Amino acid sequence: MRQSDSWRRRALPLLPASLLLVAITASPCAAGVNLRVMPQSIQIGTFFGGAQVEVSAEIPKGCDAVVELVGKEIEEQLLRKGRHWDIWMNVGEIDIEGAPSLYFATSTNPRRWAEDATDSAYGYNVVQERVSFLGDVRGLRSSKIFDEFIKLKESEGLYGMYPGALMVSPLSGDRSSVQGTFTIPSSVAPGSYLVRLSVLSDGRLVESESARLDVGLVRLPALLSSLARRHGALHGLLAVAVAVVFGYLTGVAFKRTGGSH
Amino acid sequence: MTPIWTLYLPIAGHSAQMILLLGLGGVVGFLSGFFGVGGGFLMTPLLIMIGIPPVVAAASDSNQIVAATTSGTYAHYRLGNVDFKLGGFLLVGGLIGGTIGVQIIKVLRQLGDAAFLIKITYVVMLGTMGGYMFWESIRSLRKTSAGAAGTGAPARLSRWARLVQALPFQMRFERSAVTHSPILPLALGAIVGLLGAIMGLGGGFIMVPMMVYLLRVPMHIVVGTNLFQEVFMCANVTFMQSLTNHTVDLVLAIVLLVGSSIGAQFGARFSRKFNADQLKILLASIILLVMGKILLALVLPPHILLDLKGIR
Repeated sequence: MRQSDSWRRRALPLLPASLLLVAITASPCAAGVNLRVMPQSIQIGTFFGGAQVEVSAEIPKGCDAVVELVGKEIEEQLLRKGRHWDIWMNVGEIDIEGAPSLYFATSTNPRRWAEDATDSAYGYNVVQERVSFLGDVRGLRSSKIFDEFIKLKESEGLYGMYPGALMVSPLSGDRSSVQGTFTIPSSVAPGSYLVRLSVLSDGRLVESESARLDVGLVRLPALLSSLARRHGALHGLLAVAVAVVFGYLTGVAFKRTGGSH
Repeated sequence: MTPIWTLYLPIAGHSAQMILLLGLGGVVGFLSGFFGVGGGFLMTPLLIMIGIPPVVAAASDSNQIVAATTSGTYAHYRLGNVDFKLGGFLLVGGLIGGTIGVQIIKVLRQLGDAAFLIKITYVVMLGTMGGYMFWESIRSLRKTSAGAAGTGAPARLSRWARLVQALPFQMRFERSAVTHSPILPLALGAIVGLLGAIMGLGGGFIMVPMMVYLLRVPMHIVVGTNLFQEVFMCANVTFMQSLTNHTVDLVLAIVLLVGSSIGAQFGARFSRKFNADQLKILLASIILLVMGKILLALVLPPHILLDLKGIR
């Protein structure tokens, strides 16, 4: 009897997941999506100017797909601008918690995230549910701060939503291929990112698959970043020495070429 | 494949076009050699405009100013335009004033009024300096063209001149052909150092008018001597920023300093083709334009009501 109770206690939380699994396997949309991310890692070298990441998968015909590229949640300090004596200036600090460092979402459905769309399971709505604002938020609605936050992140190229940008092409049988490209800005921070594909049928999630995208500094940027953060004095001396030597050599070079009086 | 003219800036945390950075460095370096100012009041806002975080822009700018001013100082030294004795007093005063200024900023930040004070100081200082320099130079040019301007000393000593002459320890500054108490350049250096620390700049655009109008040093000596003292002021700022805030982006600074060192050489040569009043009118116009831009940013509503604090 005790053993049976123990099993029930452990199994009960798994029930919703089991039901979802049954629903997914019973759905015509569920048959493995084979998510592929190319490249799987991005190296930030001396001449890095951003990167393109291609995402492709196979989904059943008639289903929709949403692909998200999500960074880890970070804490950021933002400056709030306000009017003070008729002058616009920084009037306070707002700490933001729970927002991903990067968020891109794209879909096969061009109507997704439209103004009148009721679906809120993907996109900025999800981000908004996780985010909290602390600090000097007096007199500002949370939704207003969030809108301004999204504007800031979009201006940095770190957030974006692209409904309908995931291209669908038919494959043999009852499968379709979906393909999309994310433009990763050069301001992407090193770290691990999650690429998440959600397959939807009539707005209901029927399958999802995730892959990892790694971003890291290499060569000169890795060396200088480490030097600046771990050996500030040495980095400072090097910076001054480089500047003085280069300035002096330029002066000498111009003298030799008769560039000066 | 990323084209090689895109450079990744490891401390700023994003990339920038190498041609654009070289161009910015070249133009500001030219102005540095031309007017004898470090160019921080121009370069820092320009770097912020192309997306460099403000703290990285200010610190890396200080680093590139070291190169531009070294190059400019060397060029002006060969032209006989550097008064090392006067520059030494200004430098000592500047270092004292800068140290006091850093402490003032620390206190104001704790009170929460630092940003407002910095911006208002910018507008007031740039407006006053630029406006006065512009008006005075126009007046001088008019007198010259009317044949009424004398190049000699004014017939009656001004109240300022009488006050300056009353100071103790009067000494001759041969290169500048002026006699002053060392208290005066020490005090002026301290004021500029203090304002420079508050505004986050080398303070050349404040120092140049002060040397011209308060120390009565000839314009070409002002240019070379100010460049000389700015080398040390900005080297100190670069080191301190690197040590305490880790905000000096060496890649950004190197590209800027390549442009600015070369630009400074052309600026120093070009400055010989203009007379002092023309130089002052040009510098005053640039100062007033920058002041106008800062003033507009203060009164016009911003596009986004949030901004990043520091760097990612």
